[in-house]
Amino acid sequence: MTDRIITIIPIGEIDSSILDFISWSIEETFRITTARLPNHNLSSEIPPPLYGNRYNSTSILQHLSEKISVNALRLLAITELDLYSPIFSTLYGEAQLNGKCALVSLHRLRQEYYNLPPDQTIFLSRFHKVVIHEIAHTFGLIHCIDKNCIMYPSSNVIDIDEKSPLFCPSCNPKLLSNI
Amino acid sequence: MKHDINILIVDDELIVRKSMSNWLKEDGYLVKTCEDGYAALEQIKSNIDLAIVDIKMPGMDGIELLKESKKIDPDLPVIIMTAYASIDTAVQAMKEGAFDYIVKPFNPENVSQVIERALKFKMLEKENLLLRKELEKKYGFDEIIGKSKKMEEIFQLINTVSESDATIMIRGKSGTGKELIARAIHANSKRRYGPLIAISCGSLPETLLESELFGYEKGAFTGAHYSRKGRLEMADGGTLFLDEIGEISKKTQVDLLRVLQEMVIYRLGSTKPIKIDARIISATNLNLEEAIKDGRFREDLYYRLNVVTINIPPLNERREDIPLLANYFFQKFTVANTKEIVGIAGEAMKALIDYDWPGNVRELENAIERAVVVSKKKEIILDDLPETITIKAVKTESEPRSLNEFEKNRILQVLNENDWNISKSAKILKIDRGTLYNKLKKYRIER
Repeated sequence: MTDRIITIIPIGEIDSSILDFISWSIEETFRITTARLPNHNLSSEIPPPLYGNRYNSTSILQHLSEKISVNALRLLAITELDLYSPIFSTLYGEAQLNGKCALVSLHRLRQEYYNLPPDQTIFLSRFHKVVIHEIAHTFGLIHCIDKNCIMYPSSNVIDIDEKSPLFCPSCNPKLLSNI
Repeated sequence: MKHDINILIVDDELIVRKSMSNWLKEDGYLVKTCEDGYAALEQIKSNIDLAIVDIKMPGMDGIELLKESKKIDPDLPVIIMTAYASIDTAVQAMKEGAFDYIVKPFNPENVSQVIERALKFKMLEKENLLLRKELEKKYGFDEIIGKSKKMEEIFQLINTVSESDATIMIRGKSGTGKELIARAIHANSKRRYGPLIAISCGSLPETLLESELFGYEKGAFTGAHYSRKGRLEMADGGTLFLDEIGEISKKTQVDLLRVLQEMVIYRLGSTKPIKIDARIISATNLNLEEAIKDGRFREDLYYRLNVVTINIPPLNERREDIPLLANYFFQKFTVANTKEIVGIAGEAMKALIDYDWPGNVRELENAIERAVVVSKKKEIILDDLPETITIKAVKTESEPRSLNEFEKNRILQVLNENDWNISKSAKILKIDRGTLYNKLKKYRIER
């Protein structure tokens, strides 16, 4: 029997205040309890980084779903690593559609990455949007054409900043029926 | 809605298929994946809207798959995936008809745009095709215009035979538009992206026709300074239109028959067989059945060429199409000559309808072009038309067709000559006043 829990697993060192924030954010959005696993270090089974220290997100997701055995509804991995996928040169996150695992990178969400002054509010807002978007994919939600909806696909941080942190009236009922 | 759009991903790497499939599914598409070109071709036979194909695959590579897919579904947009190292090949893929290419790893924004553009293009092509079919149903194909029953039957036949690869013989008098029919069949067939090669067999002497049809190797005959492909070889993957087929010599008939039986040609001066894949459409204005009886045309070749016959009626057997055609050519030439003429006057149109058109549609087209060029009025009038047409029109106007018309004209003439004096007119017409009165009522003749 699977527990109605979303388990969060930090890959490498992650600031605990960030993890606290996202636990609260997930529980508020999905009304599902969260749990946290200790930091996990990637094994040598993961392909070496490419394109200037970017890691293959699809391989990490596959590794997590095979190696991490948790009795949870969903598994969310959070990392400071920069990500790419076999098809995309950069990623904010990746999820298994209708699957169990999702992965989100913090690497490109901070203002500092774009040589701008740090802004914790902007960073957390982006983090919330990417995490909720990816977890919603695991509950079967697909991209939305409504630019304000959190399920609108984002190719850059401007897209993330411009969309709302909420589900649109079309995606919300789908989410409620799927969770 | 994306939910009913089927995208096929073809890549030998499992992780790429998985990743791409997951991403496209997140976008709401229905996704099918194949690890090689052979399996992909099977999938393409079912309902696929877009294929994303890796260029480098063992066995059948992306370019070969692209070529083969076009034989199954010429309208299927194919996006080629490539790595930096193989951009040259990607450019080659574009030349072979790929919609676009994307370089791995992709920029997500760029890929979404390419996919959306490809699907929009396919949708527009589909809409365009539907609209064209609607127009074709109404008025015909391109310049083959008509709403007569005979032409409607021809349009129907063009639609039916276009799908198949059957050889077609188009028969009709000179100027009826046989080549236009051949072009319409080619444009509506699955070979439409291949070449349409036309040759007028009647205009070339035997030896020249042979070298034109089969090609030649360097040194095959005096003057063959280089090797050259023949029209049959050029038509590979498309259609070959043999106009005036009734004019070819007995020797060329034998050679052509062999090609049709084996679909293999030999260039002049070569023993190397070359396989060809071309659909043959021929046309003639001769009575080939008589030519067979006289021994001028081979019966076996006749049956090979004549799997389906399309008979185009001469223009004087479909007079109801003349206004439609005349207006079509009028529009065409007023635009081409930037003339501000608004239409064809009633008397001129009547003359066009009444004329016999021995030169058929071509003669009508020439007549309208001339009229547009010489016209100085707001409308095309009788005087703008060639004399051959107007002579008959004038004659027609002065000679009433029916007895009633004749009688009415004669009564009017006599009344006018006698200042509408009824008694005097009746006397001249050798009828009494009462009869004349009744005839005036009957023909509604008033002063």
